[in-house]
Amino acid sequence: MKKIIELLKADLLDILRRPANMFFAVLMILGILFLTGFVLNTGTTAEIIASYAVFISAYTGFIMTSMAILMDRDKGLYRMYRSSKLSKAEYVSSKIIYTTLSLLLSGLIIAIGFFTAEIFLSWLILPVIILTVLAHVGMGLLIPAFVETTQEAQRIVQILFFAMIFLSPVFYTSENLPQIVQLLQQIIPLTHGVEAMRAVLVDGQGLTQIWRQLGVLAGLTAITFTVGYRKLQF
Amino acid sequence: MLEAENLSKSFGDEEAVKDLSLEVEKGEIVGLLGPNGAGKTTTMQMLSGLSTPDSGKISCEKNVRESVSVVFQEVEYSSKLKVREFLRMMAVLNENSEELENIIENVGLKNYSEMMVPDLSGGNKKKVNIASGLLKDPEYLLLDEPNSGLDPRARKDVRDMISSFAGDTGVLVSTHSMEEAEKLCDRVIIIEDGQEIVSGSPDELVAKIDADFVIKAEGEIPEGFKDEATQIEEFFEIKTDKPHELIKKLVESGDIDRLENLSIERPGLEDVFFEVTGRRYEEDN
Repeated sequence: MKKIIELLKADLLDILRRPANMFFAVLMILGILFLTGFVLNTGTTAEIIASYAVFISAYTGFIMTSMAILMDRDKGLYRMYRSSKLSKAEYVSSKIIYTTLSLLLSGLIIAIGFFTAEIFLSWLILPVIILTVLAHVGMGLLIPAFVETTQEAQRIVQILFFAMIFLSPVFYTSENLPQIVQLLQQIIPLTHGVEAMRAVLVDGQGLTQIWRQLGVLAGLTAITFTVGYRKLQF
Repeated sequence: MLEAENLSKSFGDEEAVKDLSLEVEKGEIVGLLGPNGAGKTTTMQMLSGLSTPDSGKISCEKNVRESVSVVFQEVEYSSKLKVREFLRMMAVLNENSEELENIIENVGLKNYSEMMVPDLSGGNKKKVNIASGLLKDPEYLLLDEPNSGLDPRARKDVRDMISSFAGDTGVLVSTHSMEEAEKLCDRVIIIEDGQEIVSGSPDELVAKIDADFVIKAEGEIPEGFKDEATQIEEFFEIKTDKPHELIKKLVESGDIDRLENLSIERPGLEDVFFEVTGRRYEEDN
């Protein structure tokens, strides 16, 4: 645990010593969310809040994990960590905890929703977001397993993520979509995260109503995480 | 003893290392020498256990990955961390926090410990690199081009530092600088295209050259020296035990006026490389 804390401390010190970078990154993310929320999104404010609370976690889980590992690799630090007595489990754990910083952004979006729309707050928000983050961390682990450089990864990650955004019901609901798209949606973790969050935040549903979505999300998380972890060479 | 037997490694169709065997004893500094692209870094990666050879075997007294620490040349320190913060992190990762202060002092970073790592000079960044490797308290330390890109003074600092900690640690240093290897290493292994071409102590290898001096110059070989000189592209060299007589002959014949960059040197590892491969070493760098 000491090693994980030390890695996190180093990452956090690095972030805190670049306040301008952090400020503009958060501003850019919120800007994109607001723009797409008002221009592209056809749902109600509560639906937008539910979608984006999950979307931001998925996005950061996927991007931050893959980019953090690839940047460590580009800088030569990854080999340095591998040559130390740090284990793969400890390294990946530090990246997961680092990624959960995105929960703060999800919290911020839900807080905005609390004051601007009618939403239901529930403890189920946490497992939905955590499972979504883990599923996307697993996918993020797969990128460094197959891609050599950060530049290459950036292109692949953007393409994959845009495909996922438009295939999953972030901007719209699934009912009116063609059957084939609805089928494809079922293998995308983001779909189940968004639907579960909408059920909790917008409709005020409980565990008995969303257990199926949570179960599928947990299953997809187990698959992406296991494959991603096993494929990552450390 | 860290021992590698018949290592081979390919990347696609390209064979980076071919049937290479070497050994490093505790307390000795061994140089892995060769031009850029000779397979030094690939060999280092395999020896450290970070990369698996296609064939061959690596062994030492204990588990290789636990006993060997490797320091690679290209580490980009862009994280906004102070030297002490970065090394403390590496000390914790290596479960060796108690050695932190000693190592900071031994590698000469005490006066820089509160500086941000990205603001350090190239030489001091190398020291941070080496300190990180030492924090593992390894039995064998592998240093990949520790002196590349450094000025002569920083090179000497790093060389002195490596010599000082070689006491009970086996050190393998990869370098493309023959001069560095001669100054630092007890034994060298010269490789080219992933294969060993010659190995031994620098003194032993140089002693095989049957002359006390080598005269090198740029230009055509003068008449009267054709039998003893060897032309290598625009340069030629003559091995001799009596350089003053040879220079006198060149002056008297007037040939010296047509030569450029004339030098008289004691034979070194570059001449060993030439003797074995028939090519000048510099051309490959």
